[in-house]
Amino acid sequence: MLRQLHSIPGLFAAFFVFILALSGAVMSIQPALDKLDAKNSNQMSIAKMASLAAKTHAGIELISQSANGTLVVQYFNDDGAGKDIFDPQTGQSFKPQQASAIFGFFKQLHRTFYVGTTGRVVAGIIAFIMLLACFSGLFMLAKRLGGWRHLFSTSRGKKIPRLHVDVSRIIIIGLFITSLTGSYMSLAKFEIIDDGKGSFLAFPENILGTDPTPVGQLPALQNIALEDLRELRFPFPDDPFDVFTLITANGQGYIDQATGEMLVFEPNTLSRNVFEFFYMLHTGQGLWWLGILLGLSALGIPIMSVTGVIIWWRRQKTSTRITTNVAADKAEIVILVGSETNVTWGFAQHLQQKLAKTHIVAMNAFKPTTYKNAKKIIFITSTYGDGAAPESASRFLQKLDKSNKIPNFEYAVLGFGDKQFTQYSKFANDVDAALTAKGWQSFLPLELVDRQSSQAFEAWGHKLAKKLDLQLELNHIVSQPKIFDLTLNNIEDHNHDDEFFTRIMQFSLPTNMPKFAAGDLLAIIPPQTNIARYYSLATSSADGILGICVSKQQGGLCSPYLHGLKVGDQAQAYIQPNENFRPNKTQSPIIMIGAGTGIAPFIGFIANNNSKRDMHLYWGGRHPQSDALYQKPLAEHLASNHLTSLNIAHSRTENGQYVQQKLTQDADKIQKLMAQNAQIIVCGGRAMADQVKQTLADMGIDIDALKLDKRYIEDVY
Amino acid sequence: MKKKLAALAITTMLTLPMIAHAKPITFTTILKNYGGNGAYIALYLTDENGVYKDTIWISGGKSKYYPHLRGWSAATGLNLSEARGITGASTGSGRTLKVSADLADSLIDAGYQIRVDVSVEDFRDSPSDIVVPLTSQNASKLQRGRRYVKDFSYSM
Repeated sequence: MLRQLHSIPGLFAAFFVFILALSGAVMSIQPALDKLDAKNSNQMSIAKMASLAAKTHAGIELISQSANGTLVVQYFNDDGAGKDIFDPQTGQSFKPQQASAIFGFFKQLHRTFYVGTTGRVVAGIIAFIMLLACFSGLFMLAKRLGGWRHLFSTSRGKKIPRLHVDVSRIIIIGLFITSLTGSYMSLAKFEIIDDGKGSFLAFPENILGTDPTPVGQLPALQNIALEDLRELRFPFPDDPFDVFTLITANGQGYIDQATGEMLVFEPNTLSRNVFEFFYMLHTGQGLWWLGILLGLSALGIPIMSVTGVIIWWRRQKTSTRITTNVAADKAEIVILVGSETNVTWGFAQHLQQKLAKTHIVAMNAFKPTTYKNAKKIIFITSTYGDGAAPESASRFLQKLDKSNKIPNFEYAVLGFGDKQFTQYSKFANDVDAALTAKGWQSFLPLELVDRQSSQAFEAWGHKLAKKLDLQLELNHIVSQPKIFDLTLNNIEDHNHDDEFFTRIMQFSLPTNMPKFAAGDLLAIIPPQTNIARYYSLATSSADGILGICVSKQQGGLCSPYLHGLKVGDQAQAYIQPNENFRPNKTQSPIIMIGAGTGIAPFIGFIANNNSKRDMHLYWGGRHPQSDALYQKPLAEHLASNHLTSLNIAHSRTENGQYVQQKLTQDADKIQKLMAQNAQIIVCGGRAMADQVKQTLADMGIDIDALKLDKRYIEDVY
Repeated sequence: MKKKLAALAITTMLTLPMIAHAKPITFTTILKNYGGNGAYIALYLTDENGVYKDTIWISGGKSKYYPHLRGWSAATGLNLSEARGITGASTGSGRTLKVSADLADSLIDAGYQIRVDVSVEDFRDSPSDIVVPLTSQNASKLQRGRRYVKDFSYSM
């Protein structure tokens, strides 16, 4: 619901918002330029200033002061009419006041799109839609980041949504001000809201009509500070019954030109003050720096429009239609789906199509009493942001809470998540725990799939098949990227004891390959299968080569294949970006911790450390003679200060130790580095990573807090 | 047939005096190139002491700005019911407002004056920009206003 409220009006408005934002950004400079023409008036009275201006301008008609402090005199005499900016200290004009053609053009575009009243209506509606998008976006943001407290924590996820979120956080206040005041001004323009401009002060009747007093001596003008002046209108020179009209920041009044007394003064109405305030906020007139800030936030709007449309379009693309769905009361298997971006739907439907007599439905539509023939019920759900329920499962736990009957069928939960989030797949865990608490029977323990991994899904499928006693091959891949044929042009084998083989491989870089960085993944597709295996890249595209490090897994599918390749052979592969696994862009130290082939991305990070920031590598291998990986480049990097310290633990030597033990030994040093805002990067097997986490936690390091700041990142397999 | 003719004669007799006592007058107001937004204009009649008598025409888009037609609005309290006509648009800088209205013969050569109030946004209001006696002698003579009106004339 929140999303529809955000995306439908957003799509509709995108084009017009573009125009409003860009024209608004151009005009936002105007108050600052205007401000440059404002001369210092040094606590002058209106009387003094007016008298100087009247002396130097024959036929003076009115003096007005812009919100930015520029004074303009209008006059009309035998030489014609004029409108000049002048200096209150001397009364001298120093340049004519001219409406700028450029600003004029954009102003008209901004107000009417050059289609008159229709355009004005559209502009008003767009302003209101933007206001709605601000609100709905803010709520979505809070939900995504795990609550209002986390509104300013680091965002995660894919590039485009992250850009959308990051830009929105910078510009939302500006956008809110602009759209709220814009909506108001539109309503005022169409007189739906009173702008207070219609309040006209009745003309006084008690005018003496005797000889006029020079303007500099009028008592009523002596005590009003020049900065309060908005406008002073002079009487017609030959008309003794005409008056001075004075408009100040506070109200308007008439002054007798003979006695110089204020005949009547009426303070501004509330609606007038409100209008002036909103006008100032919207235009920056009188608050030039706000104008510039609002203009800058307006420049973020095109980014929001474009990324917003892309996000919407991707969602449309991934949304799949269910073709054959067995009715809920006839199905033997029910699949309940919790999905936010439709990706999880894709996986769930893939499963449904491979199973017979299966009903598939969103978790929000959960109705256990209707599953009359069900034997198994499978929950497949993602987690939204930092632990929240995804959209199609937002009401599930509530509904479950209300159903008290323990059903005849058994359940299984499969969770989709991202290990980079503090709460990895939390919602799947919550669902599993809630079902257990209700007394439901599980037939397959909870499994989690990291970052849409086809392998993990396939592996889970095998376990499921065993329980259901049937054949099941799941091979669902999310948006297949373009595949390249890579030629192997260098191999470095490490195998001392004939039981453990590690191979450093370099493939030549095809010319049209997308850009990648060290730590991104090279997805290799072994022949006769369509499921890729991922290997961390030890190089970036600037190196002109694709480097990976592969250890041979007995009974594996891909690693024996890679180990069997010879120089000159070809392999099929594509790049899988891994944007959240990169050194941060500060100059703080970096602690890299890994084991085995987990060293590969670190080699790339170190090679790219041209700013020579502190980099410390902790790495665990088996034996110096079996897997002395990247020994030569590491020595070179140490010599050139690309790498600050190298700490190797070997497990298969006498007094062998693991990498986490090395960390414990260096606890003081690590604490010191953490005090310098060091970033920890972990790469390697899950068991090693868990041990490392435990070791660091024992040192008193708060890993969850670091994860929020992206100061603890890992790539674990 | 006779009855019909009689009826026609009576109605003709009743209407003829009306025609005989009023005549259409065309008022032409040509504005200067004062360089601002469109002007609001009031055409009305006063006696020779400036006391309000009758409204001829009001022109301008939004009634909330009519008070700036200061002479006319002060005299009538913004009463539009006497106006012979209202134009719902303002008259641009350098443009012409040309209107026709029936005025009773008794108003002509009887010491009344035509007054024209002009108001322009962000400029000085000009009540009585034109003050010209309504006489047959003055008809078709060009009058210059004190601020905004370049040429004003009326033709009978």
